[in-house]
Amino acid sequence: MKIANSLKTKISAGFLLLIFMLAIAGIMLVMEFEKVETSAETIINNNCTSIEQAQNMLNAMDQENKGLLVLLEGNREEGVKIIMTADSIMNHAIKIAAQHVSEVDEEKYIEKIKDEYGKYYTFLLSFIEKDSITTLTESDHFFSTYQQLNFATKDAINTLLQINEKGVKKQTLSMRDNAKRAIMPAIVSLITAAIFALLLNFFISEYLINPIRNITDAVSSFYPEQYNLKVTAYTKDEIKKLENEINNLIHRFHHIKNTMNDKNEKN
Amino acid sequence: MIRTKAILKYLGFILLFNALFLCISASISLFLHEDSFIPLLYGALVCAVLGIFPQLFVERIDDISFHEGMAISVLGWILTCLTGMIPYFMWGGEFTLANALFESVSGFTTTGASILNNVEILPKGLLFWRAATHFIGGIGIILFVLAILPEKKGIRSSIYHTEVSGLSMLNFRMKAKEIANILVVIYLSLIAIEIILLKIFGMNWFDALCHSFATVATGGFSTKNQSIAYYNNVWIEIIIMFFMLISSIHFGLIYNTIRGRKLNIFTSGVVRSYVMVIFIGIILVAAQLTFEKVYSFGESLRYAAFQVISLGTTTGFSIVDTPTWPIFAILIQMYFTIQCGMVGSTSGGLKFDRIYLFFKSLIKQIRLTKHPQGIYAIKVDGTLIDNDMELQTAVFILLYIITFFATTLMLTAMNIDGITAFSAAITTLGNAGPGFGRVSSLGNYSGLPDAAKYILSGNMLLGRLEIMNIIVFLTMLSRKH
Repeated sequence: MKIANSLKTKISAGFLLLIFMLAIAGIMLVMEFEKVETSAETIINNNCTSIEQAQNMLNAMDQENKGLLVLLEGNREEGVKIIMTADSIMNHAIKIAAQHVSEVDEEKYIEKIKDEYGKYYTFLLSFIEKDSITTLTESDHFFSTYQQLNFATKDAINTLLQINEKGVKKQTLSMRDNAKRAIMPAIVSLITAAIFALLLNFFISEYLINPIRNITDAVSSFYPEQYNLKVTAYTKDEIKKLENEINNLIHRFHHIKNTMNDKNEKN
Repeated sequence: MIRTKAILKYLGFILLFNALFLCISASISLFLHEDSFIPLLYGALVCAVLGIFPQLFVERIDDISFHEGMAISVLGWILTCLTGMIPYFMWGGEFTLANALFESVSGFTTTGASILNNVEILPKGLLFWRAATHFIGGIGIILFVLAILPEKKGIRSSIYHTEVSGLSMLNFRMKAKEIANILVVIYLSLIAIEIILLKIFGMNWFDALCHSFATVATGGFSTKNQSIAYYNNVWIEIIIMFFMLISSIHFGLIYNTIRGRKLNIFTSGVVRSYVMVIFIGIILVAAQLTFEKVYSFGESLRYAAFQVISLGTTTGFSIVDTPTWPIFAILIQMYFTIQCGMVGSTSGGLKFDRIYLFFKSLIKQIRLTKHPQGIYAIKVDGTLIDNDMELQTAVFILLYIITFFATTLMLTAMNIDGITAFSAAITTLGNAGPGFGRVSSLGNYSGLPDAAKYILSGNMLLGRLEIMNIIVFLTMLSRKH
């Protein structure tokens, strides 16, 4: 590798490398934190919404149970009103949950809820239209079917709830990993930058401070009869130029001194 | 006087070499859209920046002293292991600081001991880097650098002499440059041949490449949780056994065999003894397994051959979990983790040649005791061994035993059971990899405390750098002060 000759170039290149590395670390940091943000958004926008809607669905189911009880107590108008409101809440929750799908097969589970709820609600409507239960057998059949359909719907809703809770856990772990990864470039950069600073300090001392000190020592121990500074600079940088210029100055000084001596001798 | 700038310049070359392999690994990750891309790229960047920096400042240096060579060699290994852990540490998962360091040191020193419970979840780029650490460390990163450095008087030989033990040079009568080039060419050729053979017999290209790196480097990192047992393919096992064995033999002798020289792997007394000892080991283990009715005769021979060659060459691949084997079979295998491969090969640890020389010295001493006036000389493959070499070998063996006992003691002090502590100490010092107890052939080192992992990482480096080099380096530091 060709070595840069100018000391200025060398030091500038050193600092540029350091800046470049820190800039890359900064970019990585931003990128990784964006991933953390994305994970957080996924949790808030999708998983949490789905969990919230699943809970709304369960509440709606409870409301429908309540409506049925009111209906059975003989308050038909009030019971139907409660059931209709709950159905509206249920359909709205299903619609919103379908718009915030984030987990694998979540759409399939929402379809299952729709299907199970459809069966359950159709059965409930048929009862509302029929208006009364006349025999004990009919009553047994109604409640056992009702319970079966109700549980099947609730199971489907609970599955949706569970997969989203698992999703939250997964996303949180992913956030933790991404946050760790986001911090890592910063830690590694700090350590590398510290090593880099030590190296830079060493090279500046080796290639700038020490040669200047050597030249200073050589100048301070200079005696008038001497023609060259006793300094050996191995590099071809500004320090070597300085040494050459001091030697030229000494030569010029000797030349002037010799010329003046010659003139004095002639006079 | 040691010139720091000279050391920094050559350490920079070593880091640039690491950066090259990290870039290849990052490219694989980029191509496969893996999340290991950024950790690998950043590792490459750190190595490149720290490697380029000294090249900018330090002028051309045409002579390097022995002490500078020693410092480059020791610091080169330490620096390589430290920078090699960056991608692991940044990627996360099972890689904590201690785990990342352990995995990196294990890779570069070709030990093959792992802390990973699930290797198969690692991205391909990181798996490639893991295998590449074996590839780089296998022949010694310093030798790679020597092979690519322009020829300069004094540089190659002074670094080379600290990297390759005196014993391994007995069979060479060539320049350091020539030896470095021979070692690298043989190393690359063996890897290329093994990749092709493994592909032919059923491995995919990626696995064939990673396993070839690990085999020829006598490392032992696999891309599968079950190591070679995953393939359950006798032909793959035979190929790997052959390459493990050949890679644990002095590369100079392999070169001599190819060139048709008189001293070759067939005529060398050391190689013959080495192969004979391994053969006896296989027969003993197979016989024990058959008589104890652990397996049928065929299975016993298959498992015994693979496990003995794997541990005897310090590779560490497995096709069966061995802790359930009878104690005699376990002890035989433990002996092989102590014996290790030959000098001048890619294996680390004590090395068979030293044991061979030690026994020859023992016979000489017995003869001298019987006939004090007699003059006895030791010859190894036609080379006369002087008293200094005998003494060095004895001192090395002593140091090895002291280090091993010290490590075992430290591990047992951390409440690690005796068999695990004993085998972990000996397998890491011998750069073999799997041990017994909690660190068995299909197990790993993840369950050990962090302090134990740091100690064992140091052990692996001591095994790779042959202890004495580190002691000399530390002495140099204290003298400087």
